[in-house]
Amino acid sequence: MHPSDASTPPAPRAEALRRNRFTRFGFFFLGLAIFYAPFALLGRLVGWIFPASMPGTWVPDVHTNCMRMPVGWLAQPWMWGWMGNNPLYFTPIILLPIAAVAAGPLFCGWLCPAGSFPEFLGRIVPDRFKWDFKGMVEITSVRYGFLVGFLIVPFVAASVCCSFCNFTWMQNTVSALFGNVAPWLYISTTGVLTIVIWIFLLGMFTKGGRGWCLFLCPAGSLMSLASGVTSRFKWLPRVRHDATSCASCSNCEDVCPVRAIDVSKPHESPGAAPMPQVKVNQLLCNVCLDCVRGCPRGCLRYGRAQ
Amino acid sequence: MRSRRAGKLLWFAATVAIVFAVGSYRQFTQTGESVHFALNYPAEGQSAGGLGARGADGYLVVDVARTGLIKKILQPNVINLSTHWLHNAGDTPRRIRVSAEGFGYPIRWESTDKTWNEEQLEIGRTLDPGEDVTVDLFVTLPRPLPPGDVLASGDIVVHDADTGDRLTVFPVRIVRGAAAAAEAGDCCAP
Repeated sequence: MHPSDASTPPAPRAEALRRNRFTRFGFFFLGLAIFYAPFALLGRLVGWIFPASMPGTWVPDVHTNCMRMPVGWLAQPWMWGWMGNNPLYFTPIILLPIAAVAAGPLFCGWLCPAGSFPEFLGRIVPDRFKWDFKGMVEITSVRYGFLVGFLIVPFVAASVCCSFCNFTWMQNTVSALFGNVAPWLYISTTGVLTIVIWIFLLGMFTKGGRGWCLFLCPAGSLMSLASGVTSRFKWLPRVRHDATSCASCSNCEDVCPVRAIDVSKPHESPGAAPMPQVKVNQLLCNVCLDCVRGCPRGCLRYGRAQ
Repeated sequence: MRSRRAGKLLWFAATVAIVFAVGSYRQFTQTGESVHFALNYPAEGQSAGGLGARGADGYLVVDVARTGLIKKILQPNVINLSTHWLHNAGDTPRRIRVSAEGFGYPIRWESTDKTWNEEQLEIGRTLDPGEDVTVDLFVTLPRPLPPGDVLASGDIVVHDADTGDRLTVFPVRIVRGAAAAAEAGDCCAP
């Protein structure tokens, strides 16, 4: 259907979108089981396969598969040897970026509980209480500015790696649910700042709820960089837009948790091509597929470019 | 187009600058709250451990004047001393026990090691030469904080759990202000 044929945009596919979010909610628990104590299945598996290289008496938890330190070590060649101590240190710097090249940063959109926790919590907050940084902030610049700052700040000041770790506080939250509240008994300035920014400021009270992922997650930035740079290869699956039937209803823009979609209305002047412009910023997209499921005309899809 | 590019560059530079500012703040507070150190054992006298690099200083000074603002408001009296790591620098496998002597205030201990015995303050397994283990302790001072420059002073001691031998003694001073911190450093330096 040509966009000019659409007098009124159709209703969003609310049911499909709801189902997608519900499925992602299921993956949230899968992520907890894989990465977080008391389950930490991945840590246990790797400890079982590589008993010599894994500290077998550690209680495996999210720190066993740290997502932040190895990214910081990329700029510190003297730490590269240290990575051999634990094969899981290669996850955020090799395995996940390769997976992101192959299929987009699916880990971020589907399997990262620390990322989706504030997003899901944010669903209980009405949109009118949320701020939308889109249009106010150059999201891509801030995102990769943080990554660069994260990499080089240890050379001039203290690292912001462990002291501002949302994964730790996700783990502390899970541990508390299983009866271990000890980590919550000690208050640190950076700990409180992390919780406030991650859960509230850039989470529940930010449109999309993924502000931390966008601005302050080095692993997510690295994956999105790998995914975004390679997205020009049309044979790689990414979220793609087909303009032929788009009514530029902006539903995709609205439901995107990482504010990765820009919709510009079709030209209204006579003679100008009335094709809407929908751009998916692959440097931000986390392949959650909310836009794909939520598009009333099926103009967005996840796959190769046609 | 050019101004858009300049805007992007500005956002990028501003973000890097903010990360640097936060890193500087963190550097200021890292000797005032959640202080990390490494400790070798066995070691003679005070020749092991220290802030940052393993085996650097041989003592630890915590300056509560460098506590971050939020902690200063909410919980200024609980100090976290965190080992990165207890390292068996000898050539003998050992089981170890830790203790805190002379602080005069309640101390809570934690370890991520599966074999940690919280009552005995022991690592239950034998640690091979070169092996590391982490132990955290939380010193609870009175609130409001005691007056004076030196708030608390004591030693962290690593023992051989089987023979009771003292393997290393690590002096810790909790002080208030840069002058007191420098003085404490003088008194504890090897």
